[in-house]
Amino acid sequence: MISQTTIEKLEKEAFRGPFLTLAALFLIITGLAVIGLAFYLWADLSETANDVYSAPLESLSYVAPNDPAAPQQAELAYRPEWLNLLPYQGLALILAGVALLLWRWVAAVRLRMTVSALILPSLRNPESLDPTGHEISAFAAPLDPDREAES
Amino acid sequence: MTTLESAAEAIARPAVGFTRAQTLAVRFWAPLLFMGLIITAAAFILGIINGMVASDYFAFPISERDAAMSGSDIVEKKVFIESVGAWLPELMFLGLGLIVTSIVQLFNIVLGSLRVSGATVQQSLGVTIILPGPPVTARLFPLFTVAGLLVLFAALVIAIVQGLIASGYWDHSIATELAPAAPGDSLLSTRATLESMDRWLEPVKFVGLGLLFSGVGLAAASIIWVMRFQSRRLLDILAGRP
Repeated sequence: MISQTTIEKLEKEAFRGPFLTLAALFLIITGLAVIGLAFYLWADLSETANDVYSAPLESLSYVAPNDPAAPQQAELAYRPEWLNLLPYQGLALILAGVALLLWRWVAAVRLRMTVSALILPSLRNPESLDPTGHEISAFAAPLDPDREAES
Repeated sequence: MTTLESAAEAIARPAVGFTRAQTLAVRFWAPLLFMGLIITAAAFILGIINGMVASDYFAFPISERDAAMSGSDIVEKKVFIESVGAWLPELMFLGLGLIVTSIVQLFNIVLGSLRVSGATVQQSLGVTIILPGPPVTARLFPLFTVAGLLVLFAALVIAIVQGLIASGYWDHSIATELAPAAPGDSLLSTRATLESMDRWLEPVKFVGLGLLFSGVGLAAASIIWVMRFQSRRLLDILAGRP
């Protein structure tokens, strides 16, 4: 049999990294919330537009500073300056979360292939399995571009 | 050497490494993601500042805004709103583009990991290492990614130029200079240029982002192709074919 230590290492590797996964989920949920907030703020602005443009067109051009319609008109003009960008900010957060999940995916692919590289020869040649519980120190080496480039 | 030891040897010293592009992807995916997040956040904060300036500007009655002369506080506010507003969406899209590029790089790393570990599995089994040639999708996705990023950069540069033109145009009194401009007047042609740029610059950033997302799709298709090849190769090995 493959040694207990090796199996423990494999299991540890398989369940490692909840922090990145949680960070990714946090980013995705926050991104969705930001997009939801943007949706609400646009809907709210549409009510303001409804109020403002219920007035006759002539009166729209001559709103006095202390007229209650003035702040509404101003809001219609300035809120889109930043509200247009808010859904994209949410999208950026979601994409960042997806990127972190992909990084976890890379680790999972490497782990599965490492396990395959260990198990398949043993399955093909069962009598040569290590009976002494020899530890494989090279297991799941970290991603090292220098080493990968050299090889 | 036991089977397990030779497998460990294969893992420690793989016969095949990452390609140059995959090595670069390992180095750059995180900085690209970080830069993208910083740029999108900066664009959003600038948007809030622009909104605050716009709020101040629209607090003045329309007659006062229109009559304000060049160099006055009101006109300076208008200049700021129009010039920053011209390039802010393009900046946001560039940030998004960098994040999507980071995702493409991660797909490239997955491809590299499949390449190295596919060779390692064959090495540990003691069979001839056969690697697939890159499929068409794998040749195309880097081109789409670079093209997408270039389009987004170009859109930002053009939008900055538009912002500078807008800054010059709006630095005039609306009532006494901009409104009375007659046909043939340089102010009117500047206005026409600005309005025209607004129309055609709008879709350019979506083209850039579209190219980048196409790159993601092509990279994902390459991964499927490689995984299918590896399954076939394992079945060949199990069947005793070299």
